[in-house]
Amino acid sequence: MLALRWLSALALIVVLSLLFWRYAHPASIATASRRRAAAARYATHPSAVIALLALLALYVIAALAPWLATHDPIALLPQSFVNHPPSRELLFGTDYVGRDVFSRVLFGTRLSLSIALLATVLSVLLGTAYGLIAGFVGGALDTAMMRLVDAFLAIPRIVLLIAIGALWAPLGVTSLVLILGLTAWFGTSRLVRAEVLSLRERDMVAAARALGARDLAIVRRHVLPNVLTPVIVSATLGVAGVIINEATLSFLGIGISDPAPSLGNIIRDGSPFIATAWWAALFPGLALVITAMAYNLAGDGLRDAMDPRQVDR
Amino acid sequence: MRRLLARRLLQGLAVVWLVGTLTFTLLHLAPGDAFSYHDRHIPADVIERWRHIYCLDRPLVAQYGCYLRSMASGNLGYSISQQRPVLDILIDYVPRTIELMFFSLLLSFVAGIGLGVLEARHRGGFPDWGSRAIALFFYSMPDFWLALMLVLLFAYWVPILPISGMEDVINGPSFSGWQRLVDHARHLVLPVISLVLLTCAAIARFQRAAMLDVMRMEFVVTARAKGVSENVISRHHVLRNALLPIITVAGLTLPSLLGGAVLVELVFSWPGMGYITAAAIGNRDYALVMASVLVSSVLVVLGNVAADLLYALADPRVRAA
Repeated sequence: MLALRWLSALALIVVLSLLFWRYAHPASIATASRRRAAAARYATHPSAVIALLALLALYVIAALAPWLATHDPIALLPQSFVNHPPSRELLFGTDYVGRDVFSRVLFGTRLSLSIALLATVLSVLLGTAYGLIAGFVGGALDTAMMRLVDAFLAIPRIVLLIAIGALWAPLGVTSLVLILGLTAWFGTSRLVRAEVLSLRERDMVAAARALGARDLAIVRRHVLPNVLTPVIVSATLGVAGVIINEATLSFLGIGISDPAPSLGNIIRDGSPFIATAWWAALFPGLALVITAMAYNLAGDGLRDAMDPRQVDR
Repeated sequence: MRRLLARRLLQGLAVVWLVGTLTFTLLHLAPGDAFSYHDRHIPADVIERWRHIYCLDRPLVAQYGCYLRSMASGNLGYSISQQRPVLDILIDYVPRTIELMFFSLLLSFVAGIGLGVLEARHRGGFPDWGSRAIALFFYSMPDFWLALMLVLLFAYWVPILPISGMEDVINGPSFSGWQRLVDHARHLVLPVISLVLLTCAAIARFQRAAMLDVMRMEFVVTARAKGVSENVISRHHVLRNALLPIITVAGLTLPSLLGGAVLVELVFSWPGMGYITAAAIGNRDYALVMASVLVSSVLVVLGNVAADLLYALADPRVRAA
């Protein structure tokens, strides 16, 4: 648990500082102005701005969960508080063993956000590397690598996750991050490969090659910066999917297991009592929908802002 | 046409072989084997015999060959929790999943295409962003939670629809043929609605984009200049051309629809593939879980082949290629 907390904090800091560094030190004036234009375009989408604010708020809430929680998320309240409806004292009511759902949702959001962020970073790194290699090397290797991706994509993601989860159940937090990350990169790799294939044929690459640039230098200077945009967009949209997949695994009882709260297993605990104690299943689900929606809207906004050609498609 | 079919089927076969190899690899990376976990009293020599039949007592390469051979002959293993061959179980359960998916896909397309057309025609207006906002809301929803909320709504708050199984357990046996059909349809409603709400958002999005693409074309401008009414333009000029790409979307939505079906089946106790797969997790029934991975990929591949063929039928340019 502690290791996860540090890892996710570290991942967040690395991602943010990388983004900030690239933003603060643009390669050229043209890049700087393009970036400013993108930011301005993003700001014209009210829904995207609201989504960004919502995401910020969610991360602040997740970070402050221990201080915002009104109760211990794991401690059991006295017997008379089992399946207690929402009240001023117990904002979201209590679950079937008498735990405060509000505090559990706070901590669950925290765990879901950390797991999804880490898993997405992992899958983006994997997918980008895979797509780069396939697209840049090309030939038989490309064909073989892409057929493998086809096979992965032919298995419904959640069925694949269930199968892996079932074989190694119960999963810890670390293995959950690994499994979610390792099953989320197929789309990214396809995207990167397609982008690389078109970039490879551009004049700038031919010019660099004529000047004697090595493959690695070409990839770093010309290919990687240009695939970054679609990758960032797909990663943002991908987080929403990963959050939902994590919740699904925990709902099925092969993800985070009791008593640690995750949005999925709070719903799992609430689902048998849905008729009488709907609050235990409703509120964590709302938290999930809000989070996934914010990521989806932010991703849509980013796509429109970064790639004006794609607007309104 | 026949060559296209043959090529697609061959490619599909390669994908299925890769998926089979993948499940084989996963099984061998996992702790234990298909017969390690069971809570029933099965004599050790019976377990040993099973291990021998499924080649689990042989070296890895031989096991792989054995696995491929048995897969090719339709022998998908032995389910330790249900105590019968996996293939028999799947023959019982898969058709019910297909039934669920067929109706969901059909309704998703009707709803998705309708919404997409509406959005494109009122682009930027209230019907456009209103419908897109609602679509995004459902798109961002975990399948199982949507299903649970429908249970809450229709079973307890407005109790008008059955929420579990596929037939009335108490009165079902005394129903006549017609009543039985109505009863079955009533049980289908909620699972299908969940899947449609989850899927039609993506289809509407594609349909809207396709409509907007076609609307930019010159023949639409010409039609408008000739004074053709907007209704006729969107029905005859735009929609007909914008329907083509949606066929491909059918293939693309299949994996997520099938994945959604797994959870929706679980919540509504619809006795299909997802339902037994979820049950198999708890029983550590490796053979059954792995077979469902394989079967779902076969379903996806077949769906994609069908979509390709439909596309070729609808668009002569593809047929020639």
